[in-house]
Amino acid sequence: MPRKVICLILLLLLIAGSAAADRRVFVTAETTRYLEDGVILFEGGVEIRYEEMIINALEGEYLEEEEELTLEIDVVAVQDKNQVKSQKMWMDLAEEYIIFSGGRVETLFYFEQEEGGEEMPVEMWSDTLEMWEQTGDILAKGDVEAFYDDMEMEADEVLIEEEKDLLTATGNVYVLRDDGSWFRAEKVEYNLEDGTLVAYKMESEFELRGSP
Amino acid sequence: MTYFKRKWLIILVAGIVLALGAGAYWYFQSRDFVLPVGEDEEIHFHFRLGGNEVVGWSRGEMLWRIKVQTIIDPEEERDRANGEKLILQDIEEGYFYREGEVYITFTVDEAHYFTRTEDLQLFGVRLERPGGDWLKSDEMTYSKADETLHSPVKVIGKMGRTDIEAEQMTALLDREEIIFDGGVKMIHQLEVE
Repeated sequence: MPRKVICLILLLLLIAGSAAADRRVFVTAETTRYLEDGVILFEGGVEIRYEEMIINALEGEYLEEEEELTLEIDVVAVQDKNQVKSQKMWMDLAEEYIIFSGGRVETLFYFEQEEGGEEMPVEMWSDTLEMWEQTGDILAKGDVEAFYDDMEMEADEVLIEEEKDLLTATGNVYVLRDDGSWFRAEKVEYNLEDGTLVAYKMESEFELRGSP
Repeated sequence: MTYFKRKWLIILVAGIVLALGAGAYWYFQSRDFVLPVGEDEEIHFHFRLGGNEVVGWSRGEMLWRIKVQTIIDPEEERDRANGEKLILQDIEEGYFYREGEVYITFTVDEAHYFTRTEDLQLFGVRLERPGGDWLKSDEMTYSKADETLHSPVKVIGKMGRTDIEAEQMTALLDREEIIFDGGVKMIHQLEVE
């Protein structure tokens, strides 16, 4: 095998190794309690930094063995311009999976409407919000209300797939536009990039205008 | 052998045996003697000195042990409210015990032992647990009454996969709980996949 190829493989292995070794969580708090069995409690002004995400809360608990983090009271998670506010957050750091809950979860998620174009926020309220860090997907559940561009939406669940720029609302979907038009559907797929909307089992009323 | 010679031989052997016995008695007494401090207290002694060691006890159970070369008993410290202060210097190593087993090893620049409260003040101390966890501080106080180790000044250390820094620290030894207080900063290394 040529020497250059071996060097390249070694370099890639080194980069992969250093990236894996850099899986670190930075924590600041007023007080930290180390209990038996690897339980760590945080109290007062808790700030967690993990990769690109900064999370603030008043209390927290970390299970060292399980790599599970729970934060409570006035939880605010920020990543770039995206933001989630809730009263409770549970995170599996090994799986990079997060659940926000406790009261109404408030989400602000930005999307580019077209490549290099202006970013538009999806504002959303829900009972819970699940987030998969690796894919960037988020799933809002329970009495979801979402606002995007000229559209207001209600549904049982809303899934946003970041890579596909796709918002999928399911269960008792109601969509109201700024122009007053509305429809109900069982499922709605909305492309956040180009604004294409596909509704399944749709029901609506239209006002027909014209000369009698 | 004549009766006269046998008599002198018996006296000589008896003399040697007596001399060896006295020598052994003196050797063991000086090597491991007991210093009964605070005889008016409930516990009949606070610590034992012997073989360059200072040992703290409670109800017959060893709490801590320090291997030390120099012990100073300063005259001017004798009227202090918390009792006579002994200054321990040139310390090799110290140990905290639980149920007869070492669970914390420490190195320390200097230690002050208060004979009435039986508290131990440690300066320039580094604690280490068998798993490799360690904590370092310029000052820590071991309180026998509370079973705590408290650092009123900055502490740094490593607990498991976490580097930690705080303005103060209190270890509740009976509950195996450690409280870090004030500006706590931690860097936790997640397991590498």
